[in-house]
Amino acid sequence: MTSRLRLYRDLAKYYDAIYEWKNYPAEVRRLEQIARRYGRSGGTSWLDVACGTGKHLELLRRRHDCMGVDESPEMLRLASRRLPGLRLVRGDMRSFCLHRGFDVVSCLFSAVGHLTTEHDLRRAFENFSRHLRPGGVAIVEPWIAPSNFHAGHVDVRTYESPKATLVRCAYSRRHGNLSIIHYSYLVGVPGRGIGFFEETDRGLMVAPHRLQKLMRGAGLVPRVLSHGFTSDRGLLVGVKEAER
Amino acid sequence: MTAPLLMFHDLADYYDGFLAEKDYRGEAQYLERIVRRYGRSGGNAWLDVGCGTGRHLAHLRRSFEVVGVDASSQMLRVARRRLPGVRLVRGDMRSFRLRERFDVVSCLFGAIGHVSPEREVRAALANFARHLRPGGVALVEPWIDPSDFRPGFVHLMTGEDRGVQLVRLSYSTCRGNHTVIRSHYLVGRPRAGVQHLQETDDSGLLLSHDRIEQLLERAGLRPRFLARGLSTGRGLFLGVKPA
Repeated sequence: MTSRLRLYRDLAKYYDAIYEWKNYPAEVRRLEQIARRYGRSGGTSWLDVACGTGKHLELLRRRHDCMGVDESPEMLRLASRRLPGLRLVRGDMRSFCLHRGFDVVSCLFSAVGHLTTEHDLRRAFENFSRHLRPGGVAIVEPWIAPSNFHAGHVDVRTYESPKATLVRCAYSRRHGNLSIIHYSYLVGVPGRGIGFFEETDRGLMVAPHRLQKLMRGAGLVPRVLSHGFTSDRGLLVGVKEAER
Repeated sequence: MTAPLLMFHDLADYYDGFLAEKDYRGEAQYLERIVRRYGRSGGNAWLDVGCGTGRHLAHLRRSFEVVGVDASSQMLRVARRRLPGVRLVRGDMRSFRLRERFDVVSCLFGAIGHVSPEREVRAALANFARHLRPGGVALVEPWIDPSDFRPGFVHLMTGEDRGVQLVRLSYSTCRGNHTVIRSHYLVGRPRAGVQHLQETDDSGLLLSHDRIEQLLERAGLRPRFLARGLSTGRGLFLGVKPA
């Protein structure tokens, strides 16, 4: 398993509320532009790896033939409610095997950041490559680069609705190129009470030139787009070489 | 002593950060209007009981000779920084004794709600009356009225103070005629980490308006309730000491 975060398990039902600020329509428009611009495989199939609750897929499926992979059954349960009829598969991004190729494989919102070694990252890229048709394109939103990471930073997010009030407080540290983010959650449910949860998320920060090298090693022609979705993270695009 | 709540002790330095939005100036102006209208003692001595970090006093001192009383030394330390030259006294609202008498004794923001049982509330009101001049007026902003209390309510407060991020999430229930408020605090300090604190405050006494008026009367004050109060929306009780 790449990540056993509670956010993807018992707190999964709050995931969309915690990230309610995320602009999925704008992200999907940009993803489709990138796929059109760099893709050379000519088809419309799209695999979203670490699809989570399926909010990208919900929009992508309008113009693409979509599938989703995620390792968390709780997240997949939420996705299947959102995406009736869409095939969703439980799997680890390094090792899932669908026995078919896609025109696009996406892995967004720094899901690859849950991998903690370059070896694991290479395995994931190789697996994305294995699931691409020749000329197909991998779109990866990497985790933050080591030079952009601010240790000692506090970030508070709150969300209020009649059903629940959520607070997430993040505190960042680092150990070499490993980011260590400590999350404290408060969840207040009217008529029920308040829960307090904490967890620590470790992620490998890899510089853009290293990411490109790993992609190249996986048979993908890499390109770094400095303007991505989340500040300072950019996007990594890899086009699968045609068969030689 | 009243309940040693985190907000008034360990977190006293952050109290103002939690309440950055509270309109103390507007509240002070309103209170001054009330005093001009109902006060009959003619002077300008004002005692604020439960003065906390002194944010009402900071405005009131422009037109009044002010003194503050609070049970928490940590809150008073913050108030002293804000109000150089103002007399600030540590004391329990039921039992503090000052030599002088005042034209106004205020007790705001539900501070009276930290006192219970009822006979202790009576003792506090009697103490306010004792410190009033004839014709002077007590201003008491009450704790929650029983008919307005919603058990199972979740309340979020956030704030920021010199880079420190503050969160309080509280959950209210009641036991008998007492409110039970479970609060969780997160204090996020840059380059230091996030601290989680929690406490349960079961000191709040739910008193009906009628009952408060009776208690004011019994303390020797002529009661009146103003539905338009301050920012809590709980109204304001007046008690005028007969001349």
